[in-house]
Amino acid sequence: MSIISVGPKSKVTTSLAMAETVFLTGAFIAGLATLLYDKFPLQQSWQSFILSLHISFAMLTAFFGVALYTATSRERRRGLALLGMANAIFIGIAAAGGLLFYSTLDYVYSYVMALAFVGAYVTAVSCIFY
Amino acid sequence: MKLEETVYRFMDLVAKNNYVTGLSILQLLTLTALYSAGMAIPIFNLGLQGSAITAHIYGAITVAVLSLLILAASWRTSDLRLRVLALFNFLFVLMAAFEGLFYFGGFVDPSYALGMGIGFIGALFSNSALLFYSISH
Repeated sequence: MSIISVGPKSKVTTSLAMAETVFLTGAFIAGLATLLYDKFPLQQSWQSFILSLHISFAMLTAFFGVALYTATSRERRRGLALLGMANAIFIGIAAAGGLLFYSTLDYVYSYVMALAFVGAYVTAVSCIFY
Repeated sequence: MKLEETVYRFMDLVAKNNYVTGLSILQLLTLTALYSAGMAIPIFNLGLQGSAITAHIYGAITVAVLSLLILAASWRTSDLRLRVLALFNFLFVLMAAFEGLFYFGGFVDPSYALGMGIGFIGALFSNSALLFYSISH
């Protein structure tokens, strides 16, 4: 089937994409709070709480991203499979950026994480509504 | 003939649902540009003057106009879900704009920047929902 073709979509894909969107939203809000309120190295416990929240949501995002990728790869619509694959790739880029930032404290990797987030969010939302 | 056919197909896609698809594509591109300019300011400590804040504000104005156009275009279709999504898009853009104006206009407190980010994420959600719903329905 061609890329832009409308047909049935399994409920598993929709549910996983909804959970993925919720976790991505949480990761974004916690990450923005980390950027705005935290100063590295961390001194206060509430600062490390925000950072832990961000990392927990990011890990949940990674797990559900892999699950969403397997669910979309079983769809008959090729566009959905491509969107799921793009979602997994963007999450990989964001995770690599976050890990590199945490080890080097170079702000370029933080920017990479922020830019890859947009791609991951758009593809996750598209798996709900497409 | 091949190129002509591709162009016509793209025009059909963009004009779907009374041009909601085309306007959403434009808004998605503008939102990405606005985000990359706005996110560079706190990450690289650029301060509230210079080219990054200018690009951010011009992008924000374009997004506000486009969200109004999407609301108008979706209201002329008969799809209730499209209308609700466009209304949410408009309200989230309005929220982000007001938080940004408070932040820029003197109340320099990080919570207003966080509110701007929450408005952005709502606008991005409703915009990509509009785009892909409009493509597939």
